[in-house]
Amino acid sequence: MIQFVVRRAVAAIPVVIGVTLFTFLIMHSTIGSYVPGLDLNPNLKAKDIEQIRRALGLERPLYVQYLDWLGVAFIMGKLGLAGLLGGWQNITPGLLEGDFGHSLVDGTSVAGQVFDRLPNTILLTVTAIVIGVLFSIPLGVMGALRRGSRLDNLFTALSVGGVAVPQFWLGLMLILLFSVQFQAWGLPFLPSSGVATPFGGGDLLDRFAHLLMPAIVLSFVYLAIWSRYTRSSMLEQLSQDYVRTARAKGMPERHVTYRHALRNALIPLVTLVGLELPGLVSGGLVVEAVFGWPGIGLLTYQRALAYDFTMVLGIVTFASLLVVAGNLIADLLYATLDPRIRLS
Amino acid sequence: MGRTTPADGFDRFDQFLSEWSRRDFLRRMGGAAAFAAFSAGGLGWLEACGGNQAAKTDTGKAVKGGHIIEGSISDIGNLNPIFTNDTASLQVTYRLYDGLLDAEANGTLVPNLATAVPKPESDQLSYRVTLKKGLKWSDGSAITADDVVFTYQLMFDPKYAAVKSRYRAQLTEYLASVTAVDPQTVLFKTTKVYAPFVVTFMVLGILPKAVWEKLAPADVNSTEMNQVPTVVSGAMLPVKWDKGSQYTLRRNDNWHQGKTFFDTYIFKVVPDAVAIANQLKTGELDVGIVDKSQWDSLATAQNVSRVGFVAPSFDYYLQNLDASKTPKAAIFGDLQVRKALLMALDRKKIADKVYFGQAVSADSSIGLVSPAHITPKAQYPFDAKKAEQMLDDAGWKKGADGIRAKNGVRMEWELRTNVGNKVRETLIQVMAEQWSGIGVKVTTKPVQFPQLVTQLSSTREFEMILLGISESIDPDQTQLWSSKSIGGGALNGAGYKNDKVDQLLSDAVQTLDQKKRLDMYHQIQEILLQDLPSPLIVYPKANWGISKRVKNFNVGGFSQYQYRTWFKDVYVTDGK
Repeated sequence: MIQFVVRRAVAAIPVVIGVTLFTFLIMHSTIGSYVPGLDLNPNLKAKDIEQIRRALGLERPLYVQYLDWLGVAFIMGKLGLAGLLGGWQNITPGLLEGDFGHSLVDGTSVAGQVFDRLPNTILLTVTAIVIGVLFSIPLGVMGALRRGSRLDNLFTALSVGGVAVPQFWLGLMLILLFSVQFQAWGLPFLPSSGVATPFGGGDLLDRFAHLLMPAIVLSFVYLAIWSRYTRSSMLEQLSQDYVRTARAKGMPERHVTYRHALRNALIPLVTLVGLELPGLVSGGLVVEAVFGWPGIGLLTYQRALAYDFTMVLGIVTFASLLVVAGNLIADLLYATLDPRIRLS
Repeated sequence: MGRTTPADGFDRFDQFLSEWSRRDFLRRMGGAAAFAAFSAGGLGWLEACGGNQAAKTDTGKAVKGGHIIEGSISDIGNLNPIFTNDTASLQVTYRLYDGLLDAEANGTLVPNLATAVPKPESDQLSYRVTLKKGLKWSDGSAITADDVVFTYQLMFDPKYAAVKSRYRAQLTEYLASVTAVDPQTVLFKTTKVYAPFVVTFMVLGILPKAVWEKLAPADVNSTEMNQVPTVVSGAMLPVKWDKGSQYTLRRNDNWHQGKTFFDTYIFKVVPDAVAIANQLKTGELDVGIVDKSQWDSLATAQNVSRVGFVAPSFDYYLQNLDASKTPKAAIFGDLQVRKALLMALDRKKIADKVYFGQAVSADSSIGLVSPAHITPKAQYPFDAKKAEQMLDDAGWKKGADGIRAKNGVRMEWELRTNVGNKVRETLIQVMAEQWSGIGVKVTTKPVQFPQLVTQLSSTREFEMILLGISESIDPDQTQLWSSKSIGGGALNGAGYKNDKVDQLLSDAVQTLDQKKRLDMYHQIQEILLQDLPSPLIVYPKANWGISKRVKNFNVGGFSQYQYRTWFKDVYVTDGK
């Protein structure tokens, strides 16, 4: 088991390097001579821009910038290999020095930004996942048990809708109805953005009111997909021999369904939920942007639009670590749920 | 191919708008909300909306206490005056730090920490600034000339070379020394006569030396005090920065202008300018700049006043005049063509339709807000027929396909703007449509902002670009029109060269006599309107929504983000 975990962790290193290198190259290919954070300002002269570019180290060759970011340049300096950098300087602390870097645009710490927002994102995603799991399993089971019934068809239609409706549209619609219109009608209305009322808010009820709409919108897709998976997986299990055997032995139908079939039917769902872990970053991006939810998704969205490479790179590194961890956790859960799977 | 008139262009544009796009969706959403508010009895229709109507100050009935929440579509970045860059950060930075000088809506400089706006000494190079008596930092210690000297040293002294000040290059060029004559007096010596010196550099916030001198120069770039400072001089004190969410400030009782009436000021990050309009309606926000598409619907909100005014900015298009960069220079190099193209644009209709009525047709090369603005004699009112005639006369004849050509060069080119700016993305399509009416074929292409900047200021490989420029108070436009500003990161990407303009631009920044200086800018505007290297299309408006419970929030002209001389008068009527 420990050996398995260690092996997977080592295998993650090339993944993380590959992902960051790819992101780094893509982002740099888009900027040309632009300096992130600078607008077209007639007050800012060409030599000012040149000086800011130098201060940010953007005039250095790409490989030096990447090695600097990674922290390898720093280590090379320590080992007396700085000459290999062609006289270019290592100006920022890098990943291997335990530093996720600083924003190109405003100099804030990437780790500081990410960790400050992490609780918000976790709150939103976990709430959405919990809503998704709580509702998708019963819906899926009901659909499977009454296959072809009106109820089943209704669920099917709903889940197709859940996948098809864009989250930003649903979010805007809910805001329009529950925030703007309810207020116009003089009814109690839900806040349309943020995690808490800026002034005098922040109590449990206030935070719940802010969480409600984004969590529901985010859970909608989970709900739609997971209930379908539960349904088909359940149908498959119900047609298995062991179910027939159980029934033949006279086991009550409830036991057959919930103790035996459901337990096996949940295995694919575990993978899916495990795969949502990196969704801590990406899954909530649209919802966070629509609801101004100050999480990692919103940070990624805004910083990508601002061409803040170091910030995006830091978030991507963080996200890729989460993907690796998410897969690992899913594998471990697999083994727990299904004795046929052995970790080796 | 049938011919298209500009009117057809607008019909098509209307059709485009009526199709199901997100922009339209948002517009309709606003409309629906407006209708609902209207039918619910909201009849705040006759709200003033042309110019800054609220610019009356009356603190006689001012109520003490309470809070104000201002919406912003982006979070703060860096709140250190020597780094501050974007508008969201400027809004907060200058509530925390005062500079020697401040500015009013029309760009007039007024004293802030200084007792007066300094005049050049007899040598034309030195400026003596006297600080007001009794100035205090928020920790109670005195603000002295040493603090001022230290702040400028951080920005330009070689001993602080590691500090990534955005003013280093310019200050190194223009500032010879800054010294404390006595605790109340600072002497600035410039290296050469430079007229924009005072307005550019004396409005910057001053840092407390005692706090910042403890840091190593490199740490100045990354200290957390760049977001949450410990000692400040402005109207407000920092309380807390909730990243991506809000920045909370409270009253600074040591502020030299007196205490603000309200206790708490909050900058709240809101997803976009449509959401700002929605949250103004629900009362979640007190002030903010709204999306132009929401302006009409905001009129129905009983609790919100609208303050719209022409902002110090313009949208314009660059025609590449450099034959070594594009063969299309053969088209744009013809002055009659440049004039005809501008005349074929119905700018009033553009302002009405593309900017939802929230812009005015541009008439010069400098924005309306600037005191240097004049309306030059050469004007190009919309006249498509005359434009066609001018092109015919200039030898640009229509071919069988309806596209004009001369000497084998067809009148077709690509018009670019930056992706993500909905107004500009729409505008390039409308321009293409309007020009197609006079036998010109224009394809449109939104590109990423960094690429556009690179194409404009370095490679200069483009045919035509539509862009917007925010203006500073000083009317110097060397960056835009001087032949020294072609390539190398500067903004004269069109490659415009006019010796007279070069000379005037260079003389103007070396002329300290304001009247003579203004006269030079008037001459420059006359020439630029005759030459039309890169014509301005419109001056967009700034569209503020202000809750009726907030009084004396007198935004206007230059007085929006950094300069808020009226901040001390602002109060909330309910004291909450």
